[in-house]
Amino acid sequence: MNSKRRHLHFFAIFSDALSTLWSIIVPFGFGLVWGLRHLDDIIGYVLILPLVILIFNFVKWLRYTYEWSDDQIHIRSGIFVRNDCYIRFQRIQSVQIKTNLLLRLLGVVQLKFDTADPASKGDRVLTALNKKEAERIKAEVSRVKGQLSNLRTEGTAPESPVHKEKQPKKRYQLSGKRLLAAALLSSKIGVMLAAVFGLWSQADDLIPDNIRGRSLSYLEHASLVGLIILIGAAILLLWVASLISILLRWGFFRLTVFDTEWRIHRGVWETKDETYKTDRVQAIQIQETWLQQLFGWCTIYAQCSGSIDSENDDGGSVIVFPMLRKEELPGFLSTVIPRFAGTLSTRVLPLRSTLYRMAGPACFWIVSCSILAWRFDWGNYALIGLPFILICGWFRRRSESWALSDKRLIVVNRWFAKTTTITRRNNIQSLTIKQSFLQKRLGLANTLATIRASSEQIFSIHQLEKEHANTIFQWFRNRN
Amino acid sequence: MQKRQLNPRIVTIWRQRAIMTHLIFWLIIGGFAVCVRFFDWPHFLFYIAGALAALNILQLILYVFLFPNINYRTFFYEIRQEDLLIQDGILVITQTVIPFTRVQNVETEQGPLLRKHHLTAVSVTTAAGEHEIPALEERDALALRDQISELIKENPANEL
Repeated sequence: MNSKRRHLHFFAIFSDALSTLWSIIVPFGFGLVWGLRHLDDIIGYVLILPLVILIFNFVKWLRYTYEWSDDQIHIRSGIFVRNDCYIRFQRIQSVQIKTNLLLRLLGVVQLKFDTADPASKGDRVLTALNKKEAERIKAEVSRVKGQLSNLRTEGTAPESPVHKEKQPKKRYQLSGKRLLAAALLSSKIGVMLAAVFGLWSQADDLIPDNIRGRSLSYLEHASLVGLIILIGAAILLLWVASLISILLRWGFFRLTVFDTEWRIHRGVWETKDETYKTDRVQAIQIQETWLQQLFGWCTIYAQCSGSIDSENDDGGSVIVFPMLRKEELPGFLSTVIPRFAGTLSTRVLPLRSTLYRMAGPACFWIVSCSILAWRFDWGNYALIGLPFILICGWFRRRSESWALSDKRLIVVNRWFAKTTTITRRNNIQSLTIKQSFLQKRLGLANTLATIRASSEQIFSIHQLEKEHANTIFQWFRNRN
Repeated sequence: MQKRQLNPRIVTIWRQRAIMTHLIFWLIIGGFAVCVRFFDWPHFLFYIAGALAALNILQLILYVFLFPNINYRTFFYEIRQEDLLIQDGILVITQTVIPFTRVQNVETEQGPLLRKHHLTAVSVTTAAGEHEIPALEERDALALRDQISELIKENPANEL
């Protein structure tokens, strides 16, 4: 049935204008008004801002209600612009329950619904909820979904009872030893260093001048050995701190595999219970950092479509298991997600492609060194870096490879960590071949496969033989 | 279906667009130079203005005289049974396949320049990104749009 072409209601002009104005006024308007009046005493400004935020949030809370019925949940929100959101239970892909120490003391949890919308707007979060209530909603959602899937398969298997599906296929638990290994091998010193430098730059404002002057003068007088010990101790401290943060994050990690979904439980202080439907998985990634590679471990990630927690530190991908022996990998994959399981042997890229890729950074370094050497005396010494760049490039490029097997495309890339990506033909949204003039001469091409995870993800194979690129192209085109 | 090229008038449109941006940049650079001259701005900014002007002339040469012809020669698109193939690029040649089953929507767009030449830009959106055919005859564009939306209907088993 078709409808006539129609405008929105006339008032749309005003309501849109109002919401735009509001989003401008809230941050600037209050600041302006109070800033003008209390320009000289900032204390008043500092006090009034939290109050405004508090009142704003109180009104928001007052206007935010939810109710659920047989097959949908209805969330009302919005202060000036009323927002009514109906979510059908069957459209909810997963329900996440989250909590942290503070919330747990009060017996409150966060509940999040994942729908197919992009992550930016799709998340519907009930920020604070009674734990019992949350569990009840979660149970209701899975009950309704189970019923529906039963209805759908009634023709073929009418007997299948709901509770049978709830029997987990397999349960993986992160043992203490592995947790320790994970913490030891993947602690991020770099992040911690950045945090400390950030604090140090802030410290300028916090610490009075005379004390800082004294501490700096102390540093100037300290001997070189003392300085080295100091730096060493600082790095050790940072490393321990990052170790502990990983222990807290991945403690009690438990992956439970069901027929159609995964349940992941993790965290010591901030516990997270997450459910992911396996048919949402677009790609599986196996990551090995250099240390992990040395000891034969790897970390498994999954790229899922739909909204994934964007504040997740894993950049939108779901961590399936943090620490796995490489030899356990085939077995693990075929239990957890059989679609993506299979051989992992890959084909190496041709030698000239490695040389081609190393040439770029090397040329850049040589040119910038020449400029430096021309302007400064010490410029020549910068050339010492060249062998390091070449060696680094060699190892990085040599470990890149690719493979096609049946319906799967496997791509191995390395930035610092080696990442093996497995995706399937019907998860690839579009495939691109790129070839520059020079590459044409060398018979090389780049291939890029785009998949849709929580955001757009592009996996690229750089500089592979042109004929292999064509093979992949044909493989993608001859679907069905 | 055989490879199809863009409408040849697109070359003129690309040139006109490039000239417009070129003129706008001259205005900006001119304003900048006048500011340096009449306010007490440091003198070395003149060199920056000069460098910008040189870049602007380079842009004129590349985007008005060189690139449109090359791009017209490299660009083609091909509608097959199940997918759309687009080749594009100037120095780096890109070929992209988009299966119709992955297409989420088809958009047509027509700015003032395109409208004057009775052309339409068609862009095809998948769940991950957008691909554009910059100029088609209005008739062809509508046909392509309808064809794709037919094909989407035929293949509803989108596995996303």
